[in-house]
Amino acid sequence: MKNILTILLLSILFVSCKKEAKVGSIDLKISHVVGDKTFELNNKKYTSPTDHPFQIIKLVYYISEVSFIATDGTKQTFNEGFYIDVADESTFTIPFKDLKPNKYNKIEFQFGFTRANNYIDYLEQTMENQNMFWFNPVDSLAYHYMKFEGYYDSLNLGTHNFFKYHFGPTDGNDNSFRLSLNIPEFEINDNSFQAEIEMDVYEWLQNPTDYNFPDYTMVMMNQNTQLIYKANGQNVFSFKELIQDDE
Amino acid sequence: MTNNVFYLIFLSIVLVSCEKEDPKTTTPHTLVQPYKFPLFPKGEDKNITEEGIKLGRHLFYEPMLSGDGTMSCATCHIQEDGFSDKRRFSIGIDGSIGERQAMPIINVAWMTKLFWDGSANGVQAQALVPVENPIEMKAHWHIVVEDLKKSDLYIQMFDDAFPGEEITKDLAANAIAQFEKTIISSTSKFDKFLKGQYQLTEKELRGYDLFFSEQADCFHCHSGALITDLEFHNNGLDLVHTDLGLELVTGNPNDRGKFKTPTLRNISYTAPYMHDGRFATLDEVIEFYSSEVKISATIDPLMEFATNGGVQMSEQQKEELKSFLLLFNDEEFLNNPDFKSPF
Repeated sequence: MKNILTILLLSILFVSCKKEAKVGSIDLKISHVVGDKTFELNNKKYTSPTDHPFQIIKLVYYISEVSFIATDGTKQTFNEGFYIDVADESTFTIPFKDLKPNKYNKIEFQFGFTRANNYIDYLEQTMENQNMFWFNPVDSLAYHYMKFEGYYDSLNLGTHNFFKYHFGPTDGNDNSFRLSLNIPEFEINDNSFQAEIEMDVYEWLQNPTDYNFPDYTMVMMNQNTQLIYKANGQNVFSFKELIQDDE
Repeated sequence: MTNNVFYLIFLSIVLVSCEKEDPKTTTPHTLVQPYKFPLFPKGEDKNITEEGIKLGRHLFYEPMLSGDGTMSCATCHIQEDGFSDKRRFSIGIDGSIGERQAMPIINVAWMTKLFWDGSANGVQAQALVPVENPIEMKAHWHIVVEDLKKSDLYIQMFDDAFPGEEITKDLAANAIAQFEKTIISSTSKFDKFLKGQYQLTEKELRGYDLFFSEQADCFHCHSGALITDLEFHNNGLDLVHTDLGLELVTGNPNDRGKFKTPTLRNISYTAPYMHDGRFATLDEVIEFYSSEVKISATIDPLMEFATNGGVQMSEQQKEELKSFLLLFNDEEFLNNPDFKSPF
């Protein structure tokens, strides 16, 4: 009887001492450049692929459904949308907690929102999000994927013009796209990392289509223009750096 | 005998010290987020009480806040006019004429930057300014506070709203801000439409399409349920800016001629329009956006058709757009007894 009790007690101790599965966290940090130049708002220091000097005064966008892909093929997806405003550094870093222990080597995310997620209640109704509404008669209310605005000089006159590069679900089309970035393998096990990816804003203006500012107006109502944005957007992001945080 | 006296004294002390003071409490007021409205900015809906609102409402309509006792906040922010001023520029106590149109006080609970140039960081900060402005109420807060301290009505109301605290200008502004945050317009036909309780006419529907598409392209600045993005834009009013707008606050030339987007709620009642009240009618405003936009260095890229002078609407489109804009009028708000003078 005494032995049975001892075994029971030991079992209880063993079970209660068993370690809980350790999770980790990763901060996804997004930095921005414009070709080989540093990113700076309100500075006409850039030249477009069609030779227009230009400056950026606004760049806000969303990524959503961020996934971390493990080497064994398992995937952990965070089904949320994230707002990034280049004028607000606090939006550059997106924390992901509770990443399951595994070895990861890939990040995926949606630029903008899939049609299934592009509805008002997908996002918290902050002022920033309400300012990103995209109305159209097909889907009623949805969100822009990106607002990219600035000024450029005309080639022959040198006059001051402006561009509005607004990307979203024209006529109810799902123009969002999914990007997959390879990253150096890292193991999550009760630790934390920071992965930095970079948006090269210049890529929105080239590859495959050189974007000539004067050629585009009413871009939100023109699906052909939106398809140019979608195609140019494929090479906008790249992996930059992975850092393990101090223990 | 000595023992008995001691006993009695001891009992009295115990009795007195046990007598519980009845601490004065305030009644929390919850600001309700109307249907489809954005979340309140952090903390803006907190620390509002029934007593604070009551005090703020009295102060809002209180002429004691002006230098000669003739003007209150409500002199230039008239409920029937969407809490704005029908005059192009408001006139101060000594006849001085202001330089900008009085902004309507509508849905300010969502605002963290007030005035056309965003110079006030929050509703309470805004409430402090007109009282001492030399071309508006031209008073001194320390004198106003002294006057309030002499009033039995205000002594009582301040004590109800801020128990145990001394009357100060900051508490007065806090109370005014509490009242102003309750001035919410969310019962227009547009709101009913959003809730599925109102069906747009054919004409209004065409106006809706103009408003929310790049044809008239109103929605980029007049966005969301507040019908304003609360941001600052140069909408092409002038070639040369005599009023520098946001630049006066930031010192940044990139902000020249930028002004805060006003809400379009109660649009029929908030004339005249723009920061300087230059347009007397809604028709003039629509005509401006259609054909009179001017390009200057800081013009907003959202003014996409500025190179053509504007969005170039037909007469029919102008009428359709106007019919949609009128849906932002909110008669219930304009007549809400909770906002009227308590005197």
